[in-house]
Amino acid sequence: MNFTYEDHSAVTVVRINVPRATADVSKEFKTFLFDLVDNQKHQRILVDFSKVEFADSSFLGSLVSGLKKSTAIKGDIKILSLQQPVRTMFELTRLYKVFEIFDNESDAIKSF
Amino acid sequence: MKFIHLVGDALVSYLKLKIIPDKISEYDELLQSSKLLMYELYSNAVRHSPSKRVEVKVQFTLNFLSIDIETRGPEFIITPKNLADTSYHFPYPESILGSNFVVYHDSEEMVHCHVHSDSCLEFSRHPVQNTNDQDIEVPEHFGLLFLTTICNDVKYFRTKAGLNIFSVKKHFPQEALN
Repeated sequence: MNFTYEDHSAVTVVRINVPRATADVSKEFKTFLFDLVDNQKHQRILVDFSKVEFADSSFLGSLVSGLKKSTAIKGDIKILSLQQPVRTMFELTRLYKVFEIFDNESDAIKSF
Repeated sequence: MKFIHLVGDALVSYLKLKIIPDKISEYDELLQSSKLLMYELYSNAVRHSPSKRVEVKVQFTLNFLSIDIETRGPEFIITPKNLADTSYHFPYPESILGSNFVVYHDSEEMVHCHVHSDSCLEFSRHPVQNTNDQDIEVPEHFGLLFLTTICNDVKYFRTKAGLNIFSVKKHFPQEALN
């Protein structure tokens, strides 16, 4: 499974299980997020990037789509564990201003 | 999209052959950004073209890495962000030759599309004046921002035969090249 999720208290932790989060899986990721938000009404989502070595603009676009969908129902999406190349992408697109980013999972879960 | 990793890895392998690591600072970052560049070009080509064939041409010209991506299919349509319900198709009309249009916009930067001719466009990145951090716009499509950030030169050509060519140049210090 490219994407999985588990519930921790009231927070849903989404695990990205691919090392390269790129255009070939971005549509699947967007569908996955939309299903969590739309159909399963998950409001507090933490996306774990710890296994991701590389992300492209298409994948980040899906993440932003998910955030917009989530905030529409007063939810939020936060980010966990960015490796340096992915962190660079967040800086390049200034998404670090839009998403709260954490290095520690328990801190991230408590922050909601 | 199944070849996306292949083309990205192929470019990195080529660069490792061409670049002398000791002669360049931030070697790893340069490989990473070049790979990202290839991903952007390739995924855009595949997503926006019904063509089964995507031709990728990579070469060094003096101290620039040049990448051309060629596809057949619909042309690049100029859709200015600051002009509602307006779009310009190939061949780009004479009335807009020499004009600049904003084709990407967020709270800090925008990308201009300069209309060189009826078949050639050039893209460049510019800061937004009077940035207000409280008012962050969040676009979902970053492709042109990426290309204009990573590259020194980003152009699009459409040939009369219906070929779309995205052509980019990225500077490399000449002393670092084999």
